[in-house]
Amino acid sequence: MNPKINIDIETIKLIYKNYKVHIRYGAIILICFLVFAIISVPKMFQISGLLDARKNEEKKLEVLNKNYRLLTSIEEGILDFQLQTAVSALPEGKDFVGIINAISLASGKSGVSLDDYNFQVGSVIDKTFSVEGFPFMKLSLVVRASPQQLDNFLQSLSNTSPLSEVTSIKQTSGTTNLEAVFYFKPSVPSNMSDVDELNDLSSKEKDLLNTISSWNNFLPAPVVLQEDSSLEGF
Amino acid sequence: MKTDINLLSALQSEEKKEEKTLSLLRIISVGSILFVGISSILIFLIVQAISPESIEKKEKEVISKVSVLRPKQAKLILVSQKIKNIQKIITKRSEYNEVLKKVVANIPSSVVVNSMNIDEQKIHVSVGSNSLAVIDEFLNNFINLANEKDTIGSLTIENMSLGVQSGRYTVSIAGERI
Repeated sequence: MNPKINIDIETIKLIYKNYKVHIRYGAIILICFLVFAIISVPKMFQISGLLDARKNEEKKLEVLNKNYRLLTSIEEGILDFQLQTAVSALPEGKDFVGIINAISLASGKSGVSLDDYNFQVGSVIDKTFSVEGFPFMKLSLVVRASPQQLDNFLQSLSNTSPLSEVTSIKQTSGTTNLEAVFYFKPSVPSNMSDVDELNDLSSKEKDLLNTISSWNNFLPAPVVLQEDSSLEGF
Repeated sequence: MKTDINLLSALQSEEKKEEKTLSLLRIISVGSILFVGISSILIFLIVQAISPESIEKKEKEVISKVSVLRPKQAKLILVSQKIKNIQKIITKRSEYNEVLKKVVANIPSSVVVNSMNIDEQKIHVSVGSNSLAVIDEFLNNFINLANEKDTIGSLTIENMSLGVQSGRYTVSIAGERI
């Protein structure tokens, strides 16, 4: 038979009266435990997440500061010159003036006489000859030159902006038919965000730009960037 | 009759036990309050100290400074892209003048070059001379060039003829470019 326990108000009152102090202390301990379990423990678990977030933010700030220092250290004039040099070597589009200038300069330097030349304008991306991924304009030229002059002409042409590549040489009785391609590359919009690290040009890249500028034939191509241009806009 | 029965002593020991329990409870509850209080303050301070908000504020300041330099940033990225592409082209394009130089250097000066074609895959040279010795020299030079495996990989004599009336030897060779 189960013993029946009867607790009425009077009994509760009696228990409370006898154990009032115990119950108060017990309640304090229970409340402290609940406060610790509900508020403090989750906060403690947040600390490691906050530490990771802080580390990430510190890294971002470091990159931002580095980018800022780099941008302020670069002289606008030098950057403009570097951009013009690079664009003259690899134009944004079909640069007829640059190509004619390059051919004239190469023929002048090497002493070859140009008979005639014609451009093949249009969508001419031939994977056989082109460096992959670079559109180009094909040009056929007829030159009158000795082998030495022809060598000089090719040398001059390869050291002239815009960048070109001879793809075929056909020489018959003093006349040489050359086929050359002139590369160009439109810039693709950059998806760079503020927190992506910017790097200055390496010394190798600067040397290359100096070499190109020493070719001394490039026509400064106008590169216009709006004042409010965003990174995704150029 | 027993005289050492002390009911008061049992009562006192009960009270002592009760007091002990109470003081233990007091100590635990005060300790709990102190522990929760101190730990809460410490956690609050730590959270405040490591909160990334202050860094985010600094980031916003730097971003606003960098935004003034946006055109410069765009130019730098553009130059960087261009120069990388230029490097690719310069590295990969074939240097015809070097090939031409080697081919021309191996053609004896006393032969007449009838035709010379150089493209991505092949080199064709056709020469003529009245002297068989010079033709021999021309062929030997190109055989040596092919053996060097530098400019030409394989060499084929495509045609060799003699014009009886002119007394002129003509030879055409073809080489696979490396």
